[in-house]
Amino acid sequence: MIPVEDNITRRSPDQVMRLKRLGSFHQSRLSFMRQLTRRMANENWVFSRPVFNIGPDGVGHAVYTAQGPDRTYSLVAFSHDLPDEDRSDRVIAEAWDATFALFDGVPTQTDIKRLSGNVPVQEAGRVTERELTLSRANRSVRLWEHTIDRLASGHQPDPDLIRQTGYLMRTTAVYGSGKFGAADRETLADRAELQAPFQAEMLTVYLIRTFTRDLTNHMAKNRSADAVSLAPEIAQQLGIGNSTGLGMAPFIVNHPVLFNNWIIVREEAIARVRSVKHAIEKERSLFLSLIKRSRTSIGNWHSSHPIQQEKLAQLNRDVKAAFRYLEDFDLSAERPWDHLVTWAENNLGEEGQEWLASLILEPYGALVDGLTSCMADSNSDAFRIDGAMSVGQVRTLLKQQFGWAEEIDWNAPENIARAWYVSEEKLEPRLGERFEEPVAEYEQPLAPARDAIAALKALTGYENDAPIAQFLMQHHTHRHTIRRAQMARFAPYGEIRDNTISNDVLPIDMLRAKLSFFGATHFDPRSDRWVRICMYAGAPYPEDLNTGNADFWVYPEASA
Amino acid sequence: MNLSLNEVEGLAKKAARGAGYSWGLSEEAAKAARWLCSFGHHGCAYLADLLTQVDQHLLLLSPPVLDPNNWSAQHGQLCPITAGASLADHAHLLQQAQSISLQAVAVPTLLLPFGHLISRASEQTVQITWSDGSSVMDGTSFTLTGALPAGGDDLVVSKGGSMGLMQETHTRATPTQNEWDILQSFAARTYAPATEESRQRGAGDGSTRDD
Repeated sequence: MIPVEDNITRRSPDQVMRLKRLGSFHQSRLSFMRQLTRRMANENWVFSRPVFNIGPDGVGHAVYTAQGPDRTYSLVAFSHDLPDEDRSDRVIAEAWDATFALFDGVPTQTDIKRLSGNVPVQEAGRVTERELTLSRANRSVRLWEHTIDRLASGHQPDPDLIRQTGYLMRTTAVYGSGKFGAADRETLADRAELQAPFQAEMLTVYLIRTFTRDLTNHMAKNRSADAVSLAPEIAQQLGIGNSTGLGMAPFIVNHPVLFNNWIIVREEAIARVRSVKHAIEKERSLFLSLIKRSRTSIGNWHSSHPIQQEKLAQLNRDVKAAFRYLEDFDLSAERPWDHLVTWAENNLGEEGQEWLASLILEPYGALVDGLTSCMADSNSDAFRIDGAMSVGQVRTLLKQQFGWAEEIDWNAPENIARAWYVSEEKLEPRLGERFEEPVAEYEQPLAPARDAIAALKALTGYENDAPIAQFLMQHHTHRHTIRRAQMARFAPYGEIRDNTISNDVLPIDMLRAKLSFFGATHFDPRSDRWVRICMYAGAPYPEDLNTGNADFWVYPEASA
Repeated sequence: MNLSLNEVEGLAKKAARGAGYSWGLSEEAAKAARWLCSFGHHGCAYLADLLTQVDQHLLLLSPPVLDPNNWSAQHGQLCPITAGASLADHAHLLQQAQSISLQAVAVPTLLLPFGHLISRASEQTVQITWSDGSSVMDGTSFTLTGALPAGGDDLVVSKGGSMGLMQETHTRATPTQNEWDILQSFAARTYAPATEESRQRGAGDGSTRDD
């Protein structure tokens, strides 16, 4: 008899899908930014800047093109003169320092003229099927003026300030997939370079970073003939900041299949690496080199928010403990990565566990990178309810996902303290206090656990072998819940296994889970419901991008 | 207007919810409107018409009365979303029955997308016929013979039927401003009026949003 391969299985959804753990996720080689830079390097993408019509005051437009094997995409950037008092990262803002669209192809003068009437006003304008994304960015007041001032006087900016802020501009929204008239994802998803999630958005931000560097140099030169350019090593440290608000939290609840695909791919990758019997020297040394570089990155991670400060203190303790453990631990022993993950589960907090879980994937591109093709959601049939499914099976699916929620008293005010709603004002997603504000009647269906328990209750009295169609005909208010329950058949990681409307829910946990898959680093929550991050810090600029530096740029060179 | 199909689906879902449909049925209404637009039909116009009738209490959202292969409304006409969703849920019944008749369907074009769902579920073609025409769906596209059904028409749904000339697919929707405005006004009922407190707290009191 052939022995069954004793591979390590994926961690269970009960373990993974808790908000505290999701809110401790770290980027990995599966992240969308790194997928993009790897692809662009492997395929030898060619970049150019055919237009840079920007005046000495920083006002004008520029075009950056990225040419892949089959198609060209162009960032059309509009640079504005924004008075300081108008600068806001909120969705309700109406003006920005710079605005952008990612154009499908190379824009003509006519296209640019059309975009110039629409892109600068963002939500108040319209784009077309030729545009893939619409976005905007604001300058970091602290770093922007300082940098231009220093460069103009012939000096480089203060390295401490660069480290502290990390970016010269931050995006405050990158809209894609049909928003404000842009092309639908469905029309683009069969292009290899856009098949993985958020690739158009990631390309947009990558090109915005280049534009930001160029604009900084341009403005410094216009201020003084003695100006110097930003030193390449400093420019490389700089990423693009991003302010992310509540809107991302509903996204992961509203896209259970897509979210499942991200999580299950990472979990499968972790299980595969844990199952590796022996790590060869090259793999061990790559891991050891990257964990040191990662420690440097964590050392540069600061937050002024008490929640994140506590998490960072825990992470720093975890990092120290991991290095102590690795001093004595023999990575050439059998199943080294499984040992390391198991040790972490018993000795580290969630921050440290997830940090290591992402890091062990690094030496195993050949084993895990192929999984990234499963991260998109192409299953349009997931929407269709199977009405022939038995009530008994639906009950089982609901209990599988939400059994934990049966213990919760869903009438207790603290457990239903919050309500997610959309404001009339620019349709901003918000989280309100159910018992203090008149928002309950506008509540969005973003409490799947509460709704699942309500559906289970309504199912009382229905025979197990009755088709669910019968129930749905009488109880259409539970239709969205039954649909989700059925999705669990192929999306076991689609549901957050925590209460999303309790008085102590932290929306930033949901934001971090999503942003970690983008590849973001240095999460810096500014409240319990919005967060600043950095994207592409350390990445090579287009002219330097090659297969040697396309992958591990996220880890800075280790300091001594 | 020239809109992405995601815009249509997004607004249609909110509009249906604003008109009083449950979230689950609003999702069905949104997919139905999108599906029609994706074949160049006036999905937004049909939905605007339907929601207006619902709003004026000309149409009730109560479930159809099953007799058992002859479905009708408890009062007045059948809602195409409520009946369509139920019909798709009961796709398995079509295995046994020769056909299911739907009596007096309001805005019946909105029922065609549910035939598409049934054909995907059963991996067979589905035929829907009415007095002046018929349609066959194969789970990917559909064909249309004669005129689209008119309000109040009886529809007969059955398995089988052969595909004729396929409807052309579209990547954009082109509703009139008026149709879009109607959907906007229903959707607006799902938005909470802004108060200074919600503006400050609801998205996270943000110290230093502009540093």
